[in-house]
Amino acid sequence: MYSNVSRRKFLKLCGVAAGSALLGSTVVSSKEILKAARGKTKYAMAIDLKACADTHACDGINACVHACKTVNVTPPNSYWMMAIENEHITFAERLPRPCMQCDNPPCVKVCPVGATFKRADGIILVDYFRCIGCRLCAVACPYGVRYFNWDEPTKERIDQTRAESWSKVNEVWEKAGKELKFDENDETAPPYMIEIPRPHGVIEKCNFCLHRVEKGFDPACVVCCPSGAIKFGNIGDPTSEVSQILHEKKYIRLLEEFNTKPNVYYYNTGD
Amino acid sequence: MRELELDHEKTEANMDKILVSVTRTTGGFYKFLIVSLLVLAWFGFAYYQQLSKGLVVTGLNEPMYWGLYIGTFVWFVGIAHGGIAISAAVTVLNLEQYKPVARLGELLTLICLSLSGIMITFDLGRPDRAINLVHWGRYQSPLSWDVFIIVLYFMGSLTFFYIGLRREMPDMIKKFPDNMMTGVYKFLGAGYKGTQKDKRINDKVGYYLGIALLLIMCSASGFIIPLIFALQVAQPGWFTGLLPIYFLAAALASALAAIILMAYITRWMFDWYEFISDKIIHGLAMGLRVFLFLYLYFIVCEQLVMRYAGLLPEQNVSNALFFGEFAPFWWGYLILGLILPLVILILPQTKTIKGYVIASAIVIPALWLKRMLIVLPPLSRQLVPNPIVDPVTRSGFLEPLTTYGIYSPTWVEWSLFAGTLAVGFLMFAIFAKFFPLIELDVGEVYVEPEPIAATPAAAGEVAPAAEPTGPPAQCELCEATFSNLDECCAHAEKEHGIATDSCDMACAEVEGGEAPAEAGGEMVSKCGLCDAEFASKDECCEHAEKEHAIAKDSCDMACEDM
Repeated sequence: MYSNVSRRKFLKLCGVAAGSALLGSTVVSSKEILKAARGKTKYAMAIDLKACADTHACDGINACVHACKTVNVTPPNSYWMMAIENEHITFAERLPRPCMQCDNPPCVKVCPVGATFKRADGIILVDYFRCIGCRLCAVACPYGVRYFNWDEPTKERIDQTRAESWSKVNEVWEKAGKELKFDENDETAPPYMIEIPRPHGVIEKCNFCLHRVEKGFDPACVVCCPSGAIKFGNIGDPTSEVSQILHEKKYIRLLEEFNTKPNVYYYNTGD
Repeated sequence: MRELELDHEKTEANMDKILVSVTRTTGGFYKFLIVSLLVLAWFGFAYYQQLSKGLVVTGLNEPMYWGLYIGTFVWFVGIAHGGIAISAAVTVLNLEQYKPVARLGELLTLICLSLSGIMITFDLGRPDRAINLVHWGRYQSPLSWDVFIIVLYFMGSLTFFYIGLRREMPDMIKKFPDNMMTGVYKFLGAGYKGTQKDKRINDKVGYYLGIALLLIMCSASGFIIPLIFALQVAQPGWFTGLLPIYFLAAALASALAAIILMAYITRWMFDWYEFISDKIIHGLAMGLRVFLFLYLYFIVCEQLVMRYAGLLPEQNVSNALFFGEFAPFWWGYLILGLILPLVILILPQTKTIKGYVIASAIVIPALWLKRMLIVLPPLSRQLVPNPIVDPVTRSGFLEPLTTYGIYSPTWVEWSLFAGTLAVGFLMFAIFAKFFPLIELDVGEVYVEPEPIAATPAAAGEVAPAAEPTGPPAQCELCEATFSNLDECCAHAEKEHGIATDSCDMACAEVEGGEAPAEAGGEMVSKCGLCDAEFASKDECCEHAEKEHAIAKDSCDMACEDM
């Protein structure tokens, strides 16, 4: 059994805001999004679809997908970061899809016990010790980013998943002809797993690698992308890369019309 | 007028007939018990598998997060609604003719609500944390609303049921004074004495509770349960305002069908044909017909909008039903599960009791299939394709390329379903073994009390056979005269519809033994209220007291001298 205490303390330390959804403003244009976030900490991702498509090293195996799997050791059918390939999308070759960390999250609205909640910095978390496994949030998410732990992970499976995924990430970087380097101080660098494996019967999902972000590092998918197509940052800080991209470039968000106000922006969609 | 008296003999006989489920235990009952316990043992084994290994033993996966358990949960909740509908209708809308099936209906509600609660705990990933629903419950979540309304409905139905049951405890104690259940009867009776006051209070509470339950029923199945589906923007096919009333129609259809089956089977098993008449089953079947027709209408509305101009995800779901992997189930359901019972209930040739039972027996499992057809297709067509996770990637007929989910229930799910059904049947059988399945006051028989001798001459009618040609008699209603009382009675029955037993109300003998002439001067007194003529003022006064409830002192008001 995993100790609840340290987990809860960890969440408390991070300024957990339990309870209902953060009512987002009714903004659509980037100017208003940036203005609303000014001065606060609000994490978002901007994904360069052209750079992603040009990364032919990722053809067949996607580095971001497996980097995520290495660090978070997700169960077999669970892919917190997913890459959706050409035949399913009309506007890009490849679409990396993490959790959107929506500002109007349908998942947070429907949780009967408040096990999933939105933090003040925008990241939506799951409390693995309160979740009753009803899967209403999974059904409610239009993006399909929530996964369920159908069984209890075993040590063998954890080790095997981590080893396999890490080898795939390395394979991609070799094909790209680059060297994957992490910061020296980065204790959470893959393949070392910090995120605990979830027990059976609870929901899990991408949390923007919070355990890395808290220490000042970028999520695993961001670091492990050979072309740096995935950008992560604080849009409350006007000098961050993501803020500048939002300010300058045209972007789209998935399922915009569902009014979920996602925080993952896709740019460079043309051509 | 005259108070109807309880015919004690016949009532006792009827009560014994009703209680035959309690008093008679055949070999069949024990066989049923053994089979149920075997099924329960298997169910226990299957549930242990699920508890120890997790939901991986089911066919559930990404994106098919919900499957048999949720579909069956909705089905059970649907069936549970009819029970209280009947009882509440009997109490509140005064549809007294359905009283014999009221107890069966209430039992159906209680049992099916319990089964639905059991079903939903199977679906939880962490049933050990179910208490979190109470401890950390969020009022914003449709699932909390579900939990609340089902518990409320169950408690309300249980109370309503108890109010009806309590009334019969004195009779049960009298019938089984020295039984292991006598203590239970005494406890449940809680001092009910059967006095008029008790009855009045009981009925009043039942009446108001019945109204409340009718409202809850409409809100539970018609509004709150379907909201858990209707409020999901992510699932096309669920995300429609039509869903609440759609579910309500299905709920009432399945509920009425279940009551028809229960009524038919129990009356066959226990020979209750005189209590549960064909008329009751006919009435229920006509109600079933209305709800089946409404359901067909709602399906047409839903599919028409989805196919003509639905958003792409909706069209995908509709195509999945019409042409995709769900097509055999969808068309099978529509034709055999909905149109066929409707036709049976419409055509005069099939509108027989057997026809109704066949239609009901089709409707119940068909609506189970339909619930699965509601739950599964939207989940299988995710809005954002998930190619690594979703097992199938192809374009279907009229469907663009997308990824599909696949779901097939495993033996564990079927076993848990079967076990839940076994629990339901067991609960019913155990109740039937210890309590009456029909309200005991259905068996009450009332008769006219023995007639009081109104006039001295009327004493002659007590033994008509002794005097075949008795004194002449006159019909007081139409003033026709007859040579004897028997003829007058025959006339009264034929012309005025008065039963022979009550003949003395209509025919009075004429004193003097002579057939009174039409313009007989012997008619002395005339009743001003009904124009009947009498040979003496006293006779007129007797008549006035008897027929018009005028005291003898005031006889002058009624009787005039001719």
